[in-house]
Amino acid sequence: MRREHNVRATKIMITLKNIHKTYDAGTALHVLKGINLEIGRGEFLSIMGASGSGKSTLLNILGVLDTYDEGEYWLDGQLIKDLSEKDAAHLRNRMIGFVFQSFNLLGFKTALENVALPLYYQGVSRSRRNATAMEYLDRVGLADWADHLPNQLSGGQKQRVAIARALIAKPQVILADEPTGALDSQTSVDVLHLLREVSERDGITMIIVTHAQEIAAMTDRIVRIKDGVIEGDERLV
Amino acid sequence: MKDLFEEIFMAMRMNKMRTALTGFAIAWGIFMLVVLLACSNGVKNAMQLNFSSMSQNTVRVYGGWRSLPYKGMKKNTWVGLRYGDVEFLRAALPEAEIVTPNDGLWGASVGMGSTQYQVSLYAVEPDFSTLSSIEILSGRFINELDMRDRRKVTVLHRQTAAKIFPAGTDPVGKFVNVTYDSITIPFQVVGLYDMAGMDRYQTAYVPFSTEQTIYRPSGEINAIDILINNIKDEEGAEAFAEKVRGLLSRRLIFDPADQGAIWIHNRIDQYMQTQNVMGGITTFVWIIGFGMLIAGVVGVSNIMLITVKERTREIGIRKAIGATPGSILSLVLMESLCITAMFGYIGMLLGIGVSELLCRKFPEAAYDPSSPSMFVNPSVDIGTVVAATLVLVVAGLLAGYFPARKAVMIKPIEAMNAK
Repeated sequence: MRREHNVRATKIMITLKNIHKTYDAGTALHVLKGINLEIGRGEFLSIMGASGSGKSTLLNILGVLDTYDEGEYWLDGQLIKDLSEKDAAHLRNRMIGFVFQSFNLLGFKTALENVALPLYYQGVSRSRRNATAMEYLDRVGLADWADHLPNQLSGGQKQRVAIARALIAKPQVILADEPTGALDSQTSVDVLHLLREVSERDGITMIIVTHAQEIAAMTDRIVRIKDGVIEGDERLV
Repeated sequence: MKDLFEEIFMAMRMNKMRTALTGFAIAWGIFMLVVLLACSNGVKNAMQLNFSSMSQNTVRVYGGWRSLPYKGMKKNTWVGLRYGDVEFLRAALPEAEIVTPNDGLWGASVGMGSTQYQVSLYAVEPDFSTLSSIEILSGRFINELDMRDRRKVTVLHRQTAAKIFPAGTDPVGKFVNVTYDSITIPFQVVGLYDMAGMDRYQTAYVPFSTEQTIYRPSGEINAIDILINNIKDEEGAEAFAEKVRGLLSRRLIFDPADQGAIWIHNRIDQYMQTQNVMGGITTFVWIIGFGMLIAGVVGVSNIMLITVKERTREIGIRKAIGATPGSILSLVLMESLCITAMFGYIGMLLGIGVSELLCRKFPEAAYDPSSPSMFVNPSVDIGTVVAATLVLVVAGLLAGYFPARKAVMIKPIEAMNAK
């Protein structure tokens, strides 16, 4: 892994320079057409776009779940390019937390075990990871639900478990893909508040992908993407 | 490691029926492999025992008919062996341990009074006891004094003696009437014997010198037995036989290329051929067993593929939160290995159990030489068990390999979107 530190690295978390991505699905599909974006450490921003705009692809690239064809992606001063599957896995494990619309909890594991899973892949001992997982469950207000399976929890509770799971590895960035898409409006507001609190308290860069204006309005910065290019970048504070 | 096993058992518990059915295929495969190997061992042991009635490294030479004219001797004339040929071969074959004559009289009978039993009279020298697996139960075998004095003594099979003498009497020292060619002569019983192997013809042994004097004034003998050590392979055995043929061809005047003039019965050859057959049977059994195992392996592989497909989403989630390809690979491989190892072991234990039961039913101790069995002591040795275990491990890894690779290739995003 190549590391490059400069003065700005302390302030800038993510830099995207002219990112291109083409999918080959029968005919070539040019999804991202030169994305340039800079995101500071601890920012709380949203990425908006209609479906098919390329926002999901961008999120996958940011999450090191997918590769890009052209350009440069710098994450915390490190160029993310040509990583082996293993290095990518390590990076995801330590640097990035994910929160998904469909929660993506493992159904046969309890809330506590779900939260502890990232630490399992770090090789942390069972007792330590369960203790840590309990702390984080407590933080999202679900300590009493530790032994419940996901299907015994409400949607809001599931998303809180997912947030605790995203937090447990102390990531630099949390990527939330439509985190409130499956929740009612009051629960959505609660989850957004929780994400903001986490971002502010731990200085985590929070990137929320959404198509809902009222959710985007609750963030500090809205990046609008359309047809594979950034169409607008608006700071609300 | 403990966590990994917990994950695996969790996955197996979620699909109990499926795991059990797959496991059964593996257990059955290894069970049949072990039982078949045990059975082939049983056949092998039986053949070994049947063979041991004669020392394995003996060559027997019989007289025969010239099939080629040679030096004035016409075709289809008889080449007989005499005692002089024995002495000649003794001198000419220093490498031979023993060179000894034997002569057989078929259609003789022994008995007391009016009860007579059909036996073969076999005239041998004391040496014979070394090259056969004859076992003296009481008394003694024919000795040098019997030979020198041409004593009318005989060594009877225990079953012959049991028929002639009432239970509770010791036949040794008693006299029996030996009838051959309408001549009845009393012989003294000096010993009782038993012999392992195919000795279903109850033979009465008499001193060679006695038999020659009474029954064979012509001096002809039936065969010459040669005990020879240091022959390791069929080529050596063949070369030795040719040497004997060459020596006798000059003395008895027949073409050394004439295969019919004397018969050389090579037990070494026969032994080696049997060994080859046994090797063939063992290979065959391994192939069948392997075939069955492969069916099991394919079953496990299939199940693992389904499992991976079902768990695509889960694997995607694990990858997103930092599971390395290696950890996904080992998750699937270890599950496959666990299924094959667990059920394979059950199958192996059952197989060993069944072969032990067979062992009880066909023990070596109960081997009856008078009714030779084709099945003795069908046990499996530790080597087989180790080999079967290795096969299992390899099978498990093999079964898991393709599903595991499939799991590793899963793209997290697509997997998580899959329903």
